[in-house]
Formats: sequence, C-alpha cells, structure tokens
Amino acid sequence: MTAEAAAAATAARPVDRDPVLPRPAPGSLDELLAQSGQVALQLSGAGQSAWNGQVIETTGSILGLAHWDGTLYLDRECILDPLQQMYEHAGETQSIPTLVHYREALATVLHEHAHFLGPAGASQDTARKAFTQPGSRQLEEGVAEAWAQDHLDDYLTRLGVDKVAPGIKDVQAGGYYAAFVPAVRRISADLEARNNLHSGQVIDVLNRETAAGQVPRLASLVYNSTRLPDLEPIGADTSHHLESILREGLAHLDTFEVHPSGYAAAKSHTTAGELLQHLHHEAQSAESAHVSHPAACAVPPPSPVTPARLTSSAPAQAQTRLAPPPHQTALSGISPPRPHLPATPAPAATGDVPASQVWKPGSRGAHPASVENAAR
Amino acid sequence: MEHSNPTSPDATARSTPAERQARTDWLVTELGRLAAAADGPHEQASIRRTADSLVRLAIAFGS
Repeated sequence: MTAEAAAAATAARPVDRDPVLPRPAPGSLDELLAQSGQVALQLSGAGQSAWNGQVIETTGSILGLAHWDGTLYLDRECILDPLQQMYEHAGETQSIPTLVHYREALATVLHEHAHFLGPAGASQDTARKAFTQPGSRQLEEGVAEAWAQDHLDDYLTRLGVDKVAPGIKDVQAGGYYAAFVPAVRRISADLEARNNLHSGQVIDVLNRETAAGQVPRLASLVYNSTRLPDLEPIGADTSHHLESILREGLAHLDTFEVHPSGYAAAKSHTTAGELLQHLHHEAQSAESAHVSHPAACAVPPPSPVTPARLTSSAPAQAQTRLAPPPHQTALSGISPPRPHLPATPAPAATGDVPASQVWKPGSRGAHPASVENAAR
Repeated sequence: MEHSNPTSPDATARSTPAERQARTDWLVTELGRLAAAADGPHEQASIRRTADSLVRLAIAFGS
C-alpha cells in the first residue's frame, strides 16, 4: 500500500480508538508519513481527519502547512530529509543536535495534522470560512502547537520513533507560535480551574474542533464557568457577548508575532491575563443584573442631620446606597489591550502555497499545480 | 476622509474581510523579510512557521 493510499483511508473516517490489530511500526519515511495521520487522529480522540493522504514536498518558503484541500505540505530540507536520514540510521546513537532536529521535524508533522482534526462530519469549507474570523487563527495555532508539544512523546512512541532514534524523547525542542501558546495555556488553565477539569483537558477539547467550533466552544466554557446558566433564560445573548470579547482579545495577539519569541511569549501571557479579567468582569456584571444584593453588602445610610430628613417621605430603598462589588472596583478602568503595529504599506494580495513537489514513495516529482512564488 | 490602515491593530478585530486579507498579505511579506535576517535557525524557523500560518489564512480568504 502506498503512503497516499494508506493515508487516504484515514481521511474523514470515524475514529478507531482501540484498533484490534496493532500496526507494525513504520520502518521508512514513506511508512511514517502513511501512518502519521491515523496515529494523530487516534491520539487526539477527534472524530475525523480532513487529511487527504497527500504530502507535498516544498522547498524554501513553507515549513509545514495543512492546506484546506486536505493536502499536507512539508519542507524537504527541514522536515523530510532529516526524517529520511533518521530511518537510514535507524537504531544508531545520534548527537543531541541531530535528535533535536528530528524531534522538531516530527513536532511540525504532528502540529499540521492537528489542523486537520475535527468532529465527525465537520466541513473543511465551513472551517476555512471560520478561520478568517477574528481570533480564529490565533486560537487554532496556539491550540495545535500546545497540543502537539504536550503529546509529542506519546506520538513518537506510537510511531515507534523512539526505537529508530534512541534518546529522541530525552531532548527538548523549542516550541513555536510564542505569541499564541502562552495565551492559550493561560486561558485554558483558568477555565480548567473554574470548570473543575483536569490539566490539559481544555486544549484537548479545543483540538478536536475545527476553526468553526473552537472559539464558540471556548466561549461556552467561559459562560459555563459562571452562574449565568442558572440565572439567565435560555437564549440570552451573554454567551455571544463573551465570544466577541474573546475574539477581540485573541485577535490582538498577532501584534506580537513579528517580535522575538521571548518578548512575544511574555506579551501573550500578559494579554491573556487582561482578557480573562475582562471576561470575568463582564460575566460578573451580567450576574449582578440577575441577583439581589445581600443586605450585608449595603452601606448604611448616613445619619440624619436635619429634622427634614427624619420626615422624608422618600422610599426606604432610596436611602440605601449599595457598595460597588469589589471586582468592579478592582477592575474599573481595565479595557482590552490596544497593541501597536508599525505602519507599513501592504503589498499586493497573494495567497497560494509556495514551491512544491508531490511526495510519493521513492520519488519526488513536480507538483502538477504550480504554486510557485506565492506568499511572497 | 479617514481610511483604515490594514496594519493597525484595530483592523484585526473590527475590519472588513478585505482589509484583514490585505493585512495578512502584508504580514506574510514582512515575515519573509524578517526570516531572511533572523538570528539563528530557531528564530528563523519560528518566523517561517508564523508565515506558514498566514499563508494558510491567505488561502482561506482567497478560496
């Protein structure tokens, strides 16, 4: 079975979480690629992968890309050649830099497969349209990268790579998407704590969604972490309001993409904290509209100083001043971040995928669809 | 008359799809320039990964 044929069987199929027959571990790059999608699918617990089984070898611009048509693009020099070399030297002891190189290549493969995952029956066209909405790309990249980092060792084990490259699970590879990952991790950890979920569960759940479902799912987690589901009538608009706040906050993260990783990571973490504060403030404001304030929080009216006050006919409640809730006092004045980008004129629009060749077992022919010079 | 700037942060969240696409294309070009001048292979790979993501977005806009 060719890599394409084997992988094609993966696409848009229900998950086989407990395969009866174990697969033999890949013994070549072709076999690794053939199994890469199915193993990622099983690892994730998603309903389907949109991967069509094709791998396109690129040279130059693209390192890794999960195309909306289901094709996986991987760079020859940084991804495919190192993995080819890994199998040519299977079982041999390698230097740490070489193992790091292998690990980064496989992390990219897993990250790109994460983009193909979704619920059973999910539409790639719907996902593609949703990906253009504010905040969607930032969330999906952050989730895909965080999930790939967290599950890479398991992925390597399932593919038998730890036997091919002994020591590969003992080295660390630097992650990517520093502008998104810290924010995704902070938001996820906050929601896990509020919803009594275990560590990593929110990222796992989001990773099983396409772009069409990720932000709405995140908004639901925020909404359900409050008392609003018990206070509001079904169909209340608060959840959509929270989603719009999430989208705006996530969209701001791309401001940090062009900065060095350390700075981007720090700003990502800070921005997520501000976004969470904004969300919680909005949620608590909505909650306060549905609950009466307990008497213990009321500030007693000032002592009467004039006889006229004693004879006032104003209703009693008008003389009771409610103290602002502590969170409102603490958060007053906080607004979403307003990052700054350099004002540089935009070039003409492009959008295709750059230089590529079709990856087939034993050959690297030219890709029929010319995608040269795109994205430049 | 004031025109929206595709590179401004507010354009990201509140602009039209066409404006966001223009901003995406600008970022892809800018990242290509930054990758060429990056310090070290990891920083270069990081920039290239970001560019990959924006190319994916550009394809989504253009499909």
